[in-house]
Amino acid sequence: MDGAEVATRRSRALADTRSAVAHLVRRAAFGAPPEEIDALAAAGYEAAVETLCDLARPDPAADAVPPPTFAPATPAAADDPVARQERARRVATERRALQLWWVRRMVAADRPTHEKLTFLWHDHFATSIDKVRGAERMHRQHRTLHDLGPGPFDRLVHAMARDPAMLVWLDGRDNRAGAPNENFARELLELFTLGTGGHGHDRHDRQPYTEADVADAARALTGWAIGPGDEGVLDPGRHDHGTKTVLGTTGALGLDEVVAAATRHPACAPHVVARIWSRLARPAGPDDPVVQELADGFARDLDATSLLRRILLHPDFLAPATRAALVKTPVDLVVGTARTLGTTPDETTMTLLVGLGQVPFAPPDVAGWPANEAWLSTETARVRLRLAASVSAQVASEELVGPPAERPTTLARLLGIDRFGPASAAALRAAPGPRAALTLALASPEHVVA
Amino acid sequence: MTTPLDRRRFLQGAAALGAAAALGACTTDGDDRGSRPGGQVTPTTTAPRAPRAEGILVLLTLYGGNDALNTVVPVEDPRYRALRGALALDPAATHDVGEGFALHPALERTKALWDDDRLAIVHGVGFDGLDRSHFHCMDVWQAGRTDDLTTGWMGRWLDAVGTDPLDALVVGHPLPLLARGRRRSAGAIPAGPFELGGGDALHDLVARMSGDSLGRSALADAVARSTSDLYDVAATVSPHLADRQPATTLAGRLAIVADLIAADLPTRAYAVELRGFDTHASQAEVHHGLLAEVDGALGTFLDLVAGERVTVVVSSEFGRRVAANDSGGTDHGGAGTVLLAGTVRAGHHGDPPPLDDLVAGDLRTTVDHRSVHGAVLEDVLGIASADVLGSDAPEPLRLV
Repeated sequence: MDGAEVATRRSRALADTRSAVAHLVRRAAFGAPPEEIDALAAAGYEAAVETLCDLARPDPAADAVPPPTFAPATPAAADDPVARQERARRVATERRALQLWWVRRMVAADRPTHEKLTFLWHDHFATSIDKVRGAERMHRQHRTLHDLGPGPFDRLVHAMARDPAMLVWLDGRDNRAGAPNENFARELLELFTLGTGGHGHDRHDRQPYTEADVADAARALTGWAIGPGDEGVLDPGRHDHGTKTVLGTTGALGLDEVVAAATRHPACAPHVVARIWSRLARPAGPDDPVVQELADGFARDLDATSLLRRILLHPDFLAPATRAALVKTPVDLVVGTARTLGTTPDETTMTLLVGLGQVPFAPPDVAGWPANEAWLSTETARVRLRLAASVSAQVASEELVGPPAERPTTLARLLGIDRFGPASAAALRAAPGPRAALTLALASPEHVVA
Repeated sequence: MTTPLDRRRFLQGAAALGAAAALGACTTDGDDRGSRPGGQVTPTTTAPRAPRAEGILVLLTLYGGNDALNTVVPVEDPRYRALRGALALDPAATHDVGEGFALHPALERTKALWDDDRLAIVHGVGFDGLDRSHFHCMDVWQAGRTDDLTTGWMGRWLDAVGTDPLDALVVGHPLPLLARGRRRSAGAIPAGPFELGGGDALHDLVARMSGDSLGRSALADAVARSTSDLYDVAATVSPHLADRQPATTLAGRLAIVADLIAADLPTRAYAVELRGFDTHASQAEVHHGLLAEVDGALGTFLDLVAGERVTVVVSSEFGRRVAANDSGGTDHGGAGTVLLAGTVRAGHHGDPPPLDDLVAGDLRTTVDHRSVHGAVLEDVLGIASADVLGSDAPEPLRLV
């Protein structure tokens, strides 16, 4: 091997590393400006994963985004229409402020992977302000997801089971001895921990829990109420102290035992890993071999940060098929664009997120947001174009996008894309100016896939 | 036959030649389909459209599990009152529709439709494998089958009938499974003003960028397809949504559909949704409010499209537990009731599930949901049920 060949191989290896790191940052950190990707790539892929997965360190940049202030909850007299109207207005204002706050936080964060993980858990334990109403309660749930999210999953489930927003969202506060309400118990087993065993004709033979488990889990979870300090508290007088059987465990079960039984059940790890893997890597069910392999590790300690690290280091995460397997969610698109180009989301950005169908704190239902093809419609295409035009109007310049002939290369590097296909490249070169060129690049199929 | 790719090539060609304006003058009906708000001319197809077949289908999906038993109420069955307790509706406030049933008090205009022979009630609709999961049940409902839940029956109808992204339209987002086929999806439009922004030069380039799948992954090509379809939808739909305020209610979304029907679009099927039917607690008030919204929206919509052959199907993923829970609500249940309004065979269809023969506390399925999808596929959209739902689907009911 002569010197030139060595140099060529080295530069190819560097390009491969940069491409892999760009993919890593897109999926696990909402994207980054090109210089940041260069810096991460210089230390190598494994080091980049370690940097992103260092979730224990504080994040002053994220914390510097001021959270909204919440007016003290004053129960409006039912017969005072002025007070009721005022209260409704305040609820709406605080809601918008809270939603913008989190999006800005995601953009400002120095540890974006922590924000991404928090958003994945929000999607997993999907709770909507539409029913919870109080923005402060949703903010508190966010803190819990953020602080406990990187740690053991069973601890997170335990916290969610007595989270005030969740107690409202899935009616846990109405669940009492002699009058069970099974809403939370069912979703705890179906969505949060075990799953339904997949689809197909034989799914009922594979379903990890029975209707009897749901009914007895609901009984075991009776009595949780929202205390005076807006905390989940157990009211022993409303708790069913009788014997229940949940997932094979029998006794005078309560919340601790139900959470333990569900999170230690063999179906839990594959279900949770499939969800996280599908959002970060490529769509896969609990039976997928990679999911099974990762679930074996997750079942041992239930540690979310270890799972995250193993996902990002798994060879399949870097496989070509995985790299082409996801559509950017609206939040990924908006936050990623802002992080990459240095813009700050505002009310207009939030209106575009509403138009795209994904606003934090307002998932459509308890299953969270859909993925991939669900984000591809003529309507999302329309709003994506508006988003692209709005961002481009703020930042586009000749210097940023380069001379026409070089735009495909310059813009691919800027947006963390490997390369534009011929159709997009031709359009970029033909664009009448930098603003149109950046709009095209942001709306391009190459950029919309994650 | 024109494939989507051909159309995009045509579109690219038109854009490249700067001939959009000239083509705009060639529209068969000479209307303003070729223009956008602001008077700009869109680079889009102007191929003559097939004449609209007679029936138009509007699917209204109630998410969360509508309480069928308190929608069409078995008021004369003493077991209803015994099982429902405080949630049992007062028969005097309900609207009699015969055979021992009455409509929820909020369904005043629906009752007027019944009196006018414009309402069909299908009892006991569900499927083998109802498992009280919102998400599995809604997927099965929208897929129209249980074995493969990757496409919806409306999407497979689109796969079967052609290439026009205007064949079916969804108001809002994200795109439901219902509207996604193997190769095609329904178009989606905003529940508010339809603005493209940007200028013609930009859109010509976007159309060009989206028109060729060369060198792209399958998913990236799907992104490109959604964008190129946008221009077809935009040219036809945007003039009718130009000055519209955002619709925050079901009535507003259905008013958009009514406008598009009046505008004589080629669209054969529309899908709209209303959420919030998961009434585990405080059901009496919440359910009343939701049904009142459905009732008002449905009544107004059918007035707006009077004279058109329109069939509205109102359905949900499952019904609710027969016995009330003790939170003043009901938990997830079994079979539901489907309402069809407008151009229908009025009356009761299917066997009402008996209240003394429950399945784990739920209403028994007496009508396979595919018999309802098949009914509108055959008698509104004019395609054999088996072509979309498969040959093992049961015989469609005759509802239209």
